[in-house]
Amino acid sequence: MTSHATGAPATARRRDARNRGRRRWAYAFVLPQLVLVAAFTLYPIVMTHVYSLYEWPGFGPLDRFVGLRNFARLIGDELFWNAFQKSFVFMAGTVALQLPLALFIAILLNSERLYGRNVYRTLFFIPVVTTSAVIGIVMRSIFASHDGLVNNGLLLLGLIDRPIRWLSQGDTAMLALVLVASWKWLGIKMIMWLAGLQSLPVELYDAAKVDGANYWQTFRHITVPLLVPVGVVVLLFSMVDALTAFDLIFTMTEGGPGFATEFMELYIYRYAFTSFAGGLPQLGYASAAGVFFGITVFLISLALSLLARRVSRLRR
Amino acid sequence: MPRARPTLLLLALLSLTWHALAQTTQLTMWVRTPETVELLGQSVERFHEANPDVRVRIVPFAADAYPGALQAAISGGDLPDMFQVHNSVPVPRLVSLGLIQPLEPHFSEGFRDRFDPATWWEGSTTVGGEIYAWPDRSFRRASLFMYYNRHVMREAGLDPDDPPVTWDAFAEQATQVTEAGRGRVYGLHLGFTSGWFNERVIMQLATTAAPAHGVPAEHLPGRMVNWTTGELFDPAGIQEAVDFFAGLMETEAVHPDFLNTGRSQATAQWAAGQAAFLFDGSWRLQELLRTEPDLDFGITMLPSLRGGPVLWGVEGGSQNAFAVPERSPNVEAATRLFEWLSDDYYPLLIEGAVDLTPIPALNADDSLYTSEAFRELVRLTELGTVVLPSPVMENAEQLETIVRLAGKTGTRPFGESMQGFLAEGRFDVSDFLAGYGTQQREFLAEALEEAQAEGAAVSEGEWIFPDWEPTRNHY
Repeated sequence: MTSHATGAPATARRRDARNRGRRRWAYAFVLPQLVLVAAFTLYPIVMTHVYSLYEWPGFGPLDRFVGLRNFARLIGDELFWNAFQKSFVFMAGTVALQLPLALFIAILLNSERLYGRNVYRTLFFIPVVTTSAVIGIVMRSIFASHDGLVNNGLLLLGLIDRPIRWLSQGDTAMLALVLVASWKWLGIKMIMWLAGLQSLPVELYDAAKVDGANYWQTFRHITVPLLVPVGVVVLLFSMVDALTAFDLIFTMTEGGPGFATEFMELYIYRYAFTSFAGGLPQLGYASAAGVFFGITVFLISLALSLLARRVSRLRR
Repeated sequence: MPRARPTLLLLALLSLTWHALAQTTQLTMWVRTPETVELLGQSVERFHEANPDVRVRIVPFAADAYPGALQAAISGGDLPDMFQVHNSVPVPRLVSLGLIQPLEPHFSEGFRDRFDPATWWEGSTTVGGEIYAWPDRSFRRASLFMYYNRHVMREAGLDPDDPPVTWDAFAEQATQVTEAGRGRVYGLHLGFTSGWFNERVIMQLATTAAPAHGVPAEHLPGRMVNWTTGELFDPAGIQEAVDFFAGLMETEAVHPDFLNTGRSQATAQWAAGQAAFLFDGSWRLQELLRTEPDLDFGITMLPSLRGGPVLWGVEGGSQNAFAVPERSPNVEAATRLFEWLSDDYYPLLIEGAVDLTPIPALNADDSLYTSEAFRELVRLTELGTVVLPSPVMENAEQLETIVRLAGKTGTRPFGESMQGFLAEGRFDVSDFLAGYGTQQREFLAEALEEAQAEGAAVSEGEWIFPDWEPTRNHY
């Protein structure tokens, strides 16, 4: 009895010591990643917030603390609101075009009766792996008013009687960007939808067939509801792609004409790293713009996640 | 033992190489002016032969990428041994931050005396009278010109030896080219996508509509100072320049892609015969002479409202000078290179049809001029480039105001706004100009106030030069 009583705590102690050792090893293995995350993710985020409180060109001493003055200046800057609005217009355009189109193509390519579907999948995926800057430069000549492929095609088809100045007018430049960005990222969204479609249980479709449901009814009452979780992921990825299309925009329109396609990334870049308007770079002000926009995007993502969770709950 | 021989030989070789490398001073030189990269490279090759103890590596930059690279190097404490200054961080600012060192003590005696005295300009190449930056060319540097494609003019029934001088004549000829071109050829082409370039085009054209008012200048970007009144931005003539473009757009006399075409691409399209006239910088000439040897073209001034000169303001010193970081231990080798380049590279500037040099004796050497087009460019430069007044020359403490002013930018930059207005077809820009002018006035007042708060004895009156005449060199 005594030996048993003294043996149990000893075993527990040994187990605790073993667990402690394991934990130490676990921390040791996690530590490098933690250091990397702290250095390359947390530190830049924290410092961006700090810089946003200073008037600072990006060099020299960080000694001109201005509090929230950079944010106040943002509020009154019509170009900031222009870029803010344009970013969301572009995002809405690409998301609205990409999501249904990618789903439609995924459904077509999911059909076992389609001959050569792997070739089509590859063709749709090629733009995804092509460098955005190259696409931007090529698209600039494709959308050119003088001898551009798009205009020549439309003229040949008799759809227009004079060339459209695609990239020289604000609205058409935005439209061209939306079309090109949607085409560029269509392949990856199609693959995501395809993965979702291929994971749907076949039994449900068999049961629907037995119940006499037609294609449209099956699509509406089985495919769409089951694809909602995948749809949320595709939506988030589409939003992220639209908000990080700097290289494509920079090479295709440079934010122009004027500020018609100047999105937040370009706005921040100009203030942070160029002598925009002939003055010193303004990293402090650009940081404030980044913080403001970052918080907005975070709130939108949060709202979307909550909405998706609510939809899932309602479905259950 | 025989097997060990190759290893020993290799070790000996490595040791010798290491020793040689250790004895060699390695210099890195950042260059942001593409037109001089090749010439500097040629001269540096010859420098290596004469100075085997120094190796120079030239790192060329695209002009638009340079400010960001410079900013990153400054904040990272990683400036190269020699770098070209940029107006986003003027020399006085670099000195006040302790980032560059004086070069004067390292130059040989009498070095500075060979130069045009205005090369050593307070706040540009010198601070407190001491040399901080070596000029890569003359301060008397031209800006924009009109290039004309003789072949296209001939095809359109125009006299290729009689390019238009006034806006009316230009509009007429450009329209004639467009009509004859039937949608394949246009009157004018220019790459109107960079803010600084758009600004120069509009402001330089404006000087012809209101010559007694402001003159744009590279050292005062975004501004058009009327030195008689001390206004940082005098909008007189700008609306007329915009109207000139509006007219060309309405008659489709300008290339339909000019608002979204880069300058290099516009030049290539013009050279390929898509337009008769091209507005571009003086720096384009050497490129055309090199890459388009068979192109039949001429160079002249931008058209002006009534035929007067198109003005461009300069100050002494150099807008593209090279500086050496404070921390660089290689300042002696760097200044040795600068002295070499002053003898060997400057003549190449003229021979290569790039620019004038800061040494008058070289500019006067007729044997260096190999191109008639460059001779014409020099002649036009003398006609249209004027040395502007400088508050710093009146009071050195105004440097503090200049540094403060460099940090102040408007909410709507001029050049990009002009591109936007033309794209929107919004040709009445009077509201914008009024707001822009007010903001510039506020900036000067703030900069003066801040400089005074730092202890500088400066006044607004030092920005007014009642005897200023726009077409005359002030110094």
